Amino acid sequence: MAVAITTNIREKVGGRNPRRDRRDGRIPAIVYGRGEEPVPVCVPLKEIEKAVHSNTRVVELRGLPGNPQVAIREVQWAPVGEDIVHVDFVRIALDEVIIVSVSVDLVGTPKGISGEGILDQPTKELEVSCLPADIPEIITINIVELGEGEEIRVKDVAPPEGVIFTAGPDTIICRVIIPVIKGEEETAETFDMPERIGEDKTEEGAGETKEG
Amino acid sequence: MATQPKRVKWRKMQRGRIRGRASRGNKLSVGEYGIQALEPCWLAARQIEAGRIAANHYLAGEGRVIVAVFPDKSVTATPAETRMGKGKGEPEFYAAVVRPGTIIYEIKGASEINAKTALNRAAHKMPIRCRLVHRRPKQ
Repeated sequence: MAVAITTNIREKVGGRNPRRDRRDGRIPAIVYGRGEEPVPVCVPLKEIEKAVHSNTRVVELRGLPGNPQVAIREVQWAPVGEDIVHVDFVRIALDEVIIVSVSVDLVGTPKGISGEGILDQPTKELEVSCLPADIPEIITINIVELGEGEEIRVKDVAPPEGVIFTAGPDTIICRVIIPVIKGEEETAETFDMPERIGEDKTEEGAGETKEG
Repeated sequence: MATQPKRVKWRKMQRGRIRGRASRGNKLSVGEYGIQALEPCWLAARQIEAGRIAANHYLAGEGRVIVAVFPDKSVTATPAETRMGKGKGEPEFYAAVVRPGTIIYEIKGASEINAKTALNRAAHKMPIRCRLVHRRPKQ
């Protein structure tokens, strides 16, 4: 069951208009996909915030012709603060497979990090291919049994029902690595002048001195 | 050791002004937690190093601290008790230009409580207000 969001078509786009919309509690957004023309819309801030924070993927846009079902493809955030700036919606069909990115959540403390190992997670999101109704909220992986130097790859994870991982089976999701310990370097109090590009070392500083 | 460029094309720079917010370097790239600048500043190389050491000492090998800024701006100063004139002073230190929104440090592979405490300690070494940020679930 998709969450319904009230939508208005934006008549005035660009320039100062999005800023005015945000000031009035409406977030600018765009709806595109499935070969149709993109439609600039705005959605109420509270409704979209609720949908985003509850990790909703599929929403129904009320107010557009046909009340289309769309997936939230991208949310743009303000560089400072927690404000949503813009949202991209992509049109979907409920009976067609779509590809979306889903966050990977690692559960537990690996036994390998009790020593010197540290947990490294190169893959924080996995692309999955599934029907809109089957999109998992999050992919949870239990890493308690992960030892030093061991890794979990995509092929080691059982996908949820109706979901296919599109990433390569050998893609590393997480691993416990042993960091190379370097001696703590002493902080240099003196300031060393860096070398100048194109400077002839035999005439060091000659280019900087002024005559007269 | 405090970082600075290995080679530079010009030794001295114009000061410039810090205007606006960070349009890049404002998102976590590899870490799960980080600190984000809330004010503009020139972050000196030794301040960056002090924060890095503070975070690393607290973590004691758990996880990894990533410094997300690099001091590439030379800052010049005229020596004390020098008469006016005689040209621009000599470079004294290198600094990173930080705008509000810039991520300064990131931490990966550490537990939430330790990462937050380590970043809090690093934030105390900063000359500006900072806030803690963490990775959002992918939409």
